Amino acid sequence: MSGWRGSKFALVVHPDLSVLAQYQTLLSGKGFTTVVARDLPTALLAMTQHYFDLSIVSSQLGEAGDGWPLAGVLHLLFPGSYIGVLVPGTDLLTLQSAINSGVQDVYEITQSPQSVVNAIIASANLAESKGRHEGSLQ
Amino acid sequence: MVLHQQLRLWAAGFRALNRIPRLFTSDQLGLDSKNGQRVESHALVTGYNRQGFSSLKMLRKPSLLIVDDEPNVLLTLKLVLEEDGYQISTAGSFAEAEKLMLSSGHFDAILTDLWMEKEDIGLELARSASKLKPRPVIVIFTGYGSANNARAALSVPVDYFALKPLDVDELKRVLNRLVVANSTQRGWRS
Repeated sequence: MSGWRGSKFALVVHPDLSVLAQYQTLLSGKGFTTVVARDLPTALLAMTQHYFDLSIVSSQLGEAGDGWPLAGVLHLLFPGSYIGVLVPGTDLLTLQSAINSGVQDVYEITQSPQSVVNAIIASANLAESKGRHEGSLQ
Repeated sequence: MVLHQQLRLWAAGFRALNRIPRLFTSDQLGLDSKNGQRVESHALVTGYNRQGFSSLKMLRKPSLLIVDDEPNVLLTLKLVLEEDGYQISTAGSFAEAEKLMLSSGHFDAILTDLWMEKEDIGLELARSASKLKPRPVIVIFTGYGSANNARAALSVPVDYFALKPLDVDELKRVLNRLVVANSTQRGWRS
């Protein structure tokens, strides 16, 4: 992630407005300029306009599993960024989709947005301290 | 391995052998057709194969390490992927693979079975591979996938997790994409 940019951007894609609002508040509190989208077209439009350091995507936008291709595209476009996916459960096929889409971790939808954001920030800081990626989230 | 899985892999191997013309005969790779002079082994190779490397100018053949304790699987994957333009090394165990990884230098991708001498030992190999610089693409394939070993693979992290029976065409497509992407960008997973 480039060091010259003053602001870090986060993208949250989820069909539920109240969930989007919670993530936006939490991520803004962590210093991210947060862009939210409820559907694929809006998310794709946002991806053409910003470099996202962090993305949180629901695996289910319109239909079950349609968030995975979006996560895959985010990974291809922003290979140095962190991508977390909100999933209904962590069975084998879900985890396989996560690996094959290039996401860093999955979070069950039953987890509170607060705990998801805390886990992501902790994970990003751990990776940074190990020198595993090129930029920083914090 | 279940018989039908083995048959399917063998069939893919035979298809690869019988596909004519083979794209990379020694003539095509080793000799300049116009003046008959030998081209250096690191010569610029374009039109790398029909599916993936055609638009990419690579300075050498991408190298793969395939690890499986079943010789039939190893041979079949070697045949199939060799035909796709890769330079293949094989290992029949974790120990042999680790030795190769440390001694023979750089591999563009490492494909490993999950269960070999021990359960989930492919994850150990993936962890070792993920520490290499530059980091190779890491692919795990298994007939014994579970939420536990998939979770562990996600945390390595592994680039691709395939369940047996392998879809060889899908594997070739994904490998092609990952190797090209890995050679041009290094990100979170580096």
